[in-house]
Amino acid sequence: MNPIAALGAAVLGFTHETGRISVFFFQALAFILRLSIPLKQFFKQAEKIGFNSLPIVILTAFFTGGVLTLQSYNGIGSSMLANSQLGRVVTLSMLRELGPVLASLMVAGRVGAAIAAELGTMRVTEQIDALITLATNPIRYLVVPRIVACALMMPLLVTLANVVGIGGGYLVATHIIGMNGTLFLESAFNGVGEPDIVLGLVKAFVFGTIIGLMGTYQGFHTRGGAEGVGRATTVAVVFASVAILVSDYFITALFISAEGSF
Amino acid sequence: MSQPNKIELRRVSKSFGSKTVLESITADIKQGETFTIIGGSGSGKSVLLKCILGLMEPTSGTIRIDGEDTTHLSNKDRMKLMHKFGMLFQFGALFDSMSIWENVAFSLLEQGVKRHEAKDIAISKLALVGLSPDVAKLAPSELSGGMKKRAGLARAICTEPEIMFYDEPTTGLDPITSDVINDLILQLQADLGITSIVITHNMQSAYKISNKITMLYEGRFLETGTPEEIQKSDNPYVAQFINGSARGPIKMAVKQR
Ligand SMILES: Nc1ncnc2c1ncn2[C@@H]1O[C@H](COP(=O)(O)OP(=O)(O)O)[C@@H](O)[C@H]1O
Ligand SMILES: [Mg+2]
Repeated sequence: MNPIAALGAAVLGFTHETGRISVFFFQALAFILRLSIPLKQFFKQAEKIGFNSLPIVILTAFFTGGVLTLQSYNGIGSSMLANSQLGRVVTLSMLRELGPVLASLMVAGRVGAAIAAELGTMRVTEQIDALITLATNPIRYLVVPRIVACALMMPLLVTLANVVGIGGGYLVATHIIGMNGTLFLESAFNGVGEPDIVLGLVKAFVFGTIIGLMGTYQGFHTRGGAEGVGRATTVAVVFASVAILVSDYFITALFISAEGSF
Repeated sequence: MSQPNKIELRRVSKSFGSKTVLESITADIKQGETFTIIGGSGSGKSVLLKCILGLMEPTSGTIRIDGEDTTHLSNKDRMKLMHKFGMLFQFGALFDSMSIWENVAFSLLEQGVKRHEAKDIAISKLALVGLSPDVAKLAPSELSGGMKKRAGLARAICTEPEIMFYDEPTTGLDPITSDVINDLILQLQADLGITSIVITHNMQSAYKISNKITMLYEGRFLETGTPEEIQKSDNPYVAQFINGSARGPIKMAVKQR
């Protein structure tokens, strides 16, 4: 195939796939907007997704906050200005960017993969067909609770990640750098406002939706036995991660232009 | 006594890409009848069942259930129609995330039946397929292939369907358990007037339970008849299949080196 034809095929394939994912999402959204959500399944998923992701999110956030503090301190230098700005830099970076993005990437690897593998296995062992023969719509029963649980649990996880990350930064600032803790916290809390928190939570909500959508979509459309399940799992994580990073840019750009117009 | 048609297939075809699996299949299955499909592995028997159930859409043709065209239904109408059906999948298709009794009682629990009531009903259905109450609380992964299949059957009959589909109900079962399943299929037909389509390779079982037997070969029904007629068939393909002979017009795709 010549390079131009290959490019054309890739673009067509991408457009086709995006269209199919959108249709799938709107099928789920139709149930969500009517609040037709199987609650028992939702709580089960919320626990799986939220509670079981705590260790990895806490660990990631703690070290991110720590390294951020160390790097920023080295970057700005140890002037008085640096000391008065360090907390602010760390907190803003965590709230607006690193908290939501890193926590979501970790959850995409853990939860997105698990969802794709579970639904993929259900697909290739005909459990999804079996659901239909038991007069149960698999989009409502399997897909909706997972997407909603991801969308709602992600902001909670990110809030926790932010607190832990700032805590990690505080510990590095006071114990490693030897800075005055009160100074760090003062600059941390004086420099941030409601919009920073809102931006982070909006991102978390969108990223959570992306993780749930990619995991369920790939799982739901798995083909080809155990090998197919493996492929679906990988694709779910890669697609979710890329979509998180791309949408992160656009959400941020949109938000900044909106902030500017106030 | 002439029963009305429960299921009508009219020129039903199904292809995957360029590969044609079913080619213009036409058949009538009467109310209360047990209709058995035999045929080699990969001949499209499971695909045909899935088309009738609506799990797959046929490429062309019409399927009618109780006289109503069900070939292209909306999701909502499809779910309603499913209440008429029970399906035993080839490998059971039990839900991994639930215990056996929760699998069997799935529809009841979804309809809001209380858990202890649903469990009692599930245990009685398990008894029908020869599984003891001890099995009820186990996970599907703790069961043998044959036990999974029986639990899958208990789940399928739990909602008392009008039409049952059995995909190889006795494959992988010992002869005695196979006959328990045969008797159960006969009993469901006699007591509840259930219409059934059965896929099987087990000719003994086919003769015992069927009103009609048909053979699927290269996407078509070669010959349809009563068990006696099929047993006496002079169609060389049918004769080769029911006698299980390697010699005859049906050639296996075995690579010659
Ligand atoms: N979803 C599918 N996509 C593509 N091909 C399929 C699909 N399902 C079944 N087939 C093909 O259709 C043929 C018939 O399969 P099947 O009905 O399962 O055979 P069997 O008669 O053993 O039940 C097989 O060659 C199989 O590869
Ligand atoms: Mg089959």
